[in-house]
Amino acid sequence: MAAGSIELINVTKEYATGRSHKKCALDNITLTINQGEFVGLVGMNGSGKSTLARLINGLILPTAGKVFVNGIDTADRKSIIEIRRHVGMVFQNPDNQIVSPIVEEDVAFGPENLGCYADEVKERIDWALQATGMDELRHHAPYLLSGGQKQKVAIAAALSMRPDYLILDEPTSMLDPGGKYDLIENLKMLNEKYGITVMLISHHMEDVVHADRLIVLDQGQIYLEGTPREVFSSENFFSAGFKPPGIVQLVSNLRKRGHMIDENIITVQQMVEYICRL
Amino acid sequence: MKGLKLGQFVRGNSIIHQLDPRTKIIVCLVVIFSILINYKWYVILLNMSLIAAVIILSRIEPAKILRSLRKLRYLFLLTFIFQSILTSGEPLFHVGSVYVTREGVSLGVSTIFRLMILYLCSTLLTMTTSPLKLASGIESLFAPLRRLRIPVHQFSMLISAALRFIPTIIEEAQILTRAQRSRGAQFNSPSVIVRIKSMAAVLIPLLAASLQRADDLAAAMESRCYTGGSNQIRISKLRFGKKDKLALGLVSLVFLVFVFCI
Repeated sequence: MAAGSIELINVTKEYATGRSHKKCALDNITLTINQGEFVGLVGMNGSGKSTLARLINGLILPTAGKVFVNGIDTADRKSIIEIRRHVGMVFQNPDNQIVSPIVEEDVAFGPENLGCYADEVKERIDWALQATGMDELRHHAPYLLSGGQKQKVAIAAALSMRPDYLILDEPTSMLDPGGKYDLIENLKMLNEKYGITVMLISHHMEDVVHADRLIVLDQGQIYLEGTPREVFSSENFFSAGFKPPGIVQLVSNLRKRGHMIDENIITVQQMVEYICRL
Repeated sequence: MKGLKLGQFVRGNSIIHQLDPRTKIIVCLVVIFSILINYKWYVILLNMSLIAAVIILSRIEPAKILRSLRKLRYLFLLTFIFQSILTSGEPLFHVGSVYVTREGVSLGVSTIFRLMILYLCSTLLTMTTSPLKLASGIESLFAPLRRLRIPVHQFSMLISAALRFIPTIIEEAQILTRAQRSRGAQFNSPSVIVRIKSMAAVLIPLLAASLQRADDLAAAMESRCYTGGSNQIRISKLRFGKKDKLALGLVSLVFLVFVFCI
């Protein structure tokens, strides 16, 4: 239970569906996320991804097991504000998480709830908007922005609480490719420059190729865990019905045909560099 | 559809935008009460000129506001017709056994103006005040009601969230209408029954989606450390300055003179 990490110990979460039926969303999961990591979490619909995200900041409590954030138990309702201050959340639909029709005011919502004073709030807004590259749009109305920009406002709103961890529950699923790319680049920057731990949940493999560690959830259990390279090349990955990103498929198909291409290539960028070196 | 939505906050930096939300709420209430108590022509004129002044000062395009009035034209028309035929008095002319009276016509005209004033004054309030500020304003003004165990904060948050989601839900309704029309829903069928049935195909998914939104918003707000309690920091950010005192003083003086003395 060291500080500076999120720990899930034997976590099980069941939902009641109907009178006597129970659906097991997460089944005995043990997982540690260390400060500074970029973790990708992938899985099919209904694999328990969102449940896992909501368990971490105490929006829901586990049926069995414990969740610790920096050593604080999420079941301890007195510390819930402390936990949520450390864990910023961004959800799937950007429209549904914006509170105010002015970007600046929306970003201020978190710090104001924490009881920060005006100067402090302003400082936090400035920082959060600058870190997401949204400072030019600070007086805009969010509903006039593009999906990607809205989602960045949501990230800024989470950042304004100065969290250690940022958990994003399928933030890219409603964005166009350009917006998606921008968002992922922004997250990489936040992780590298400010040392914010990022946990990115997605069902697009392309989104998580940059992660330090990839966790694959299947039917409420951790199915695979490792670097993206390891996960994509694993036999089990294919047999569970997952598809690696296009580039990884291309590399493996080329290798099957006898072209000895570096098998560590997982992004278009790497592929381009490799080809240019030939 | 990314145009201006009814009563939606319009960003601006005019003197009206800068006023404290409490000032605007009070003035709005004064206008509403004055027009409900007393509907003589000079009160109507006073209110209309006040509203005109606010529109000019707020630098909102008057055309936009006038266009939104058009939506109420049937209400105005019906009000006028009923007032003019159902009020007893000196008959002007009659169609069959229905008499139109002089008193009725003048009452009809003044009622239209009163409705217009009620509408414009609340629209201007929400157009020039951001929902969160409006919520803080309401909360601060009605804080004494908390003694009576009225959940003032919850009500103000409710209003603020409702205003915030108007454009989102209108947009969704338009998408749903188009989707249902493309599947053959008859929104312009001559039969009322068919039209109502078609509307159900829009309203039910809209309601379901709104519940989903409410759920999402609750999760997002909770994640940002919202605990449902009243927020002193946000309220203390409101500043009741010189401009507010001046505006409030001026308005209350004029109204006292007009409504009670004449």
